[in-house]
Amino acid sequence: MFKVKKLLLLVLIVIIAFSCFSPFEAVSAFWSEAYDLISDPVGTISAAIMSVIIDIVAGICEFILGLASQILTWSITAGGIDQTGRESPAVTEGWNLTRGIANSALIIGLVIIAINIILGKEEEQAKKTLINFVIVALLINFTPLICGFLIEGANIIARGFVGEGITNEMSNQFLDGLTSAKNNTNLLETLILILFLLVFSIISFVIHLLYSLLFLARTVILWILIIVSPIALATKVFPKSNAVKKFFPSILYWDDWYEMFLQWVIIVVPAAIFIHLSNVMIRASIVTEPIEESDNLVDYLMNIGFSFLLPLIFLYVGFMVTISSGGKIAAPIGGLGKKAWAATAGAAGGYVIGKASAGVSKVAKGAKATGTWAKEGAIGMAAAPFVGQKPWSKEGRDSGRAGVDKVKASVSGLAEKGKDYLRIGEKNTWAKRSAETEKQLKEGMDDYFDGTPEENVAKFKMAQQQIEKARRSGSLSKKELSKQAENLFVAAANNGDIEDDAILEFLENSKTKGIEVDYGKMLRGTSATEIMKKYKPKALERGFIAKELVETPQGEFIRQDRRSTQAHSVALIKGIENSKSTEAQSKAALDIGSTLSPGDYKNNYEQIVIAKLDQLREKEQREGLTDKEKEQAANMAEFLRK
Amino acid sequence: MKKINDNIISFLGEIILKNKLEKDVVDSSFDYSEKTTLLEKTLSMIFNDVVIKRMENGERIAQFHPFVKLRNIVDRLINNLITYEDVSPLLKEEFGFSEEKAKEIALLIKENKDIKELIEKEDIEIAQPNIEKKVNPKSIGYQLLK
Repeated sequence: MFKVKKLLLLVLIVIIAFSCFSPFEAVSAFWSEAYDLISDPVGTISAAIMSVIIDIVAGICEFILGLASQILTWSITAGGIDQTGRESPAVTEGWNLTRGIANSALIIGLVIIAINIILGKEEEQAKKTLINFVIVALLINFTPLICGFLIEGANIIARGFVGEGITNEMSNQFLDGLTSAKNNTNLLETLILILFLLVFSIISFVIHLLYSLLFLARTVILWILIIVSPIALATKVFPKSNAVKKFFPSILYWDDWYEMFLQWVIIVVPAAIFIHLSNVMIRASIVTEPIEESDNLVDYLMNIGFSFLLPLIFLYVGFMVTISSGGKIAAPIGGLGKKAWAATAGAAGGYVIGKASAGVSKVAKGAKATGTWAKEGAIGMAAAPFVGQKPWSKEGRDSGRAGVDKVKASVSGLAEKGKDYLRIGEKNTWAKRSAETEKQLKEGMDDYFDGTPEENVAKFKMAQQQIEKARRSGSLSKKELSKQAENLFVAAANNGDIEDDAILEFLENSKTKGIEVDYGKMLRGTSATEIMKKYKPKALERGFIAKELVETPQGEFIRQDRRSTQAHSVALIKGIENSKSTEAQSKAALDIGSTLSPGDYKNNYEQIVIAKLDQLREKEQREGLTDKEKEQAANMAEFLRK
Repeated sequence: MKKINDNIISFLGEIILKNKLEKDVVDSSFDYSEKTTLLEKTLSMIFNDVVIKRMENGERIAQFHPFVKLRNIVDRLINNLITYEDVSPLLKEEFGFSEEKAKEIALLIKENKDIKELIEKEDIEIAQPNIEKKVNPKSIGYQLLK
């Protein structure tokens, strides 16, 4: 009891002392809070806890946003892209080494040129190469200077966009948002807002980090390219051949080096443009006004979510565009970006919208919802003017979307059919089908078209898409792409389900994309027996193929020779008929079923030569021969002797 | 080896049509109208479904097609493997013509301007071309060796 009295006395003294020495506002606030605590203990304690949480979140947000923008600002200024490698000992030492190797390669090149000139073999070419040799020998000593000049040029352009570094406007706006969250009395709304801001801070951090990684990778790759530049330049002296490419693979070969160097030099420019645009958007569009009584929570979150997401989407799209111009080496960074986006922005957007609207609990589903929401909105907005509605109003967007749905309904049947034909379902996924197609395109497509007619047509389209995918990704060389297209052509030609028009369309499309399938050349460069092995009679029945075999030894062999199969022979004649070409048919009519053709040709030819020689002998006895006739007779006699 | 030309194809087609030799190699869809050229008619009597069907059944075109039989005779003639005198007996043997008919057609062949020209024309394939010299006379090595 005595102890309790002592304690109460102590508290009283502290309170009196606090009242005497503190300013009036503080005392007033204290008494007000003390009153609140006594009158509403639960509300006051929860508000205090919330305040602590908000302070922690604010600290985290401020830290990660500050860190990300610091790293990115550093990577796009002196520490990062400005490092052209001239001061780096690794670059200097490495370059000296490769210059020595390049000079040795040039000496070998000089010897080859000399031999060619002496022997008179491709002399003109050798002389041209000699000029190249002199230019290259000179330029090799200045590669760091030339490379540095180009890198500096691109950096100057980039700095024009991001010279001021990364704006901290997003960080400021986030902190404002958190302050407004502090003033909010609704616990659920405050929690959602905090979560929202935290997630967007993380997304922003990841995207900025990816850009930093890209710029740092650029610096290192450009250093490596500068180091190997003498060797790459030296390969300019050598003729373009696979053998030279084997000796100087990848970036050691001029064409590859040059392509990669330019890509990595320029990569900084689109990146800077997108960062700049994102900065502008952050300043212009981010909204974090506190929620008002009249506001609906979902609308409010959508509004601020969109204003935050837009600059980030811009940055992400810019990143992917930049990466796509970086070629094969940049692809892994792009892959990293995609993964990061899926793990942060997509998931976050989905989570928030899921919570706010349908209570969708799974993050993945939410991510999909975000995408769908954005896509549907964009489609509706784009289509609205066509149905006479305003694109910016919700009604307008809905009407536009409805119009698109009508059109989509009429074509979706076809798409579904394609899916059905490929038996895409639980067991057969697109990925599995794609992998199978890719494998067969590489290894030959003998058994590729093994389904129903509809399935085969769908598979033909899928294989074309696969080639297009490889072309776009740059994962295959033109030669490899052509090889795959040739494999597909042969397989499709052999299959009766694929129409001539579809094959010709595929060839035409490939040609416009730089993938050449010269089937005429292919056929003329293959022996008749090989053609019969590779092409089924069905292929020879196609008019456009048969036409190519008219007036060729292979075509003659297939039609006339006893060693040709009856099926191929008939198919080729059918193909000539199908070609509907009077010219092709006329040419084929000249020797169809000829007894003077391949099988009997040699004997008949000998008979002709003997007859001609006899005529010349008679003429010699009668009136003598001209010099030309004498030479002809000697040639014929030699032919018969052999 | 010399080969016939489009004019001779039409000429042989005309002989076939005049003597109604095409009956076994065409069907009712064959176009006899005046609008179609002789060359087109001849080609469509070679490249059609009836002929292809017969070939699919194992018949050799050289043994059943009147155009191919005629052309093979002309081929031998223009390549000096036979003479004009051989044409009539060969026509009799291949088509079962009467003596008179065979002589009539042989005469038509003999009088054909294009066939005559081809018989007289020299076969360019018989004159063997010289092997191309691969040494470039302008090369430094060549000049030094000279």
